Amino acid sequence: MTVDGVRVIESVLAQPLSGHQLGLLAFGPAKVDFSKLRVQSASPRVFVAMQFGAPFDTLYQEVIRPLVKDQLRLSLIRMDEVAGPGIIFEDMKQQLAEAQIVIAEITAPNQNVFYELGYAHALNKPTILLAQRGKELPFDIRSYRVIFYDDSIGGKPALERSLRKHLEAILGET
Amino acid sequence: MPTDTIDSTALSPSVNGRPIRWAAATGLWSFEEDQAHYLGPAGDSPQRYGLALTDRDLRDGSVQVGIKLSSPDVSAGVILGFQSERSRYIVAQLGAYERAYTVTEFVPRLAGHRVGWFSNELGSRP
Repeated sequence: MTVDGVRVIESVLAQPLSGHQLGLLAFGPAKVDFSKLRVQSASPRVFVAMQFGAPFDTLYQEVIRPLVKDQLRLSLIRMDEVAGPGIIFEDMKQQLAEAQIVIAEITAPNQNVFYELGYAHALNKPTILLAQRGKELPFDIRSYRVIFYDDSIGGKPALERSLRKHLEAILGET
Repeated sequence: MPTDTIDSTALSPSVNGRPIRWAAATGLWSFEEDQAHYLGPAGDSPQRYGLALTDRDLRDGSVQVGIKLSSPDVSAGVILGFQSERSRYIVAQLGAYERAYTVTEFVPRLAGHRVGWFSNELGSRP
């Protein structure tokens, strides 16, 4: 919350809101004037938690980015693409807090990816888990729905369809 | 009273720039384009507040509005994430709860209790 351009309060919700309507509220017996209401919408943000480098960069560049950014017109965040002078850990927490959806590629046993996924679950963010077919998942996340994909040319269209379906379902309900 | 501006960021893709439509849900209101005027509670209604809804949805982005309080006895702000008075929503306000600025989360299962409460503790009203 900023007042006359000065930030006065900042907070992260424990969980996303299900409603989206905007309104005005006034308490008391006397008049209140509201003027120059401006609403600036932004694209919902999708945070991608995944191991950087081959072969996962190909998945990101050829499937996730074209679908999320180019086709669905959503904002896409992967931490290696976030430039800035701040502390990376704080940046990660901020980006996750501001994301509406988190996609996590959990094929590789990468601590950073699972930390980000755990943090996203703690914030009650809708998550979409991706893993290569045949991957044995850690016990704690076996109950979550996972999109298993084949790391092959033939597997790409199927993954795109599944991922689009999940993203559209989440966007439709949030 | 001075005019202050609340700029509150929350969670939406919607068309920007089209005229705002208004609906007075509680209390007496008048509307004109991007302005709304709360005139006070409706008659003998026990509700001592006013709620006006817009046709705008906001999932991600920002809201900016000028607010002029005509008396120290009133407070006002913006509701974000509204679905109904019995669902969770956020209110960013000026002058509420004896504070200059507050952001409050209403949780219906707790009978509308404030579970999120933030203030700059200035103690003075804007």
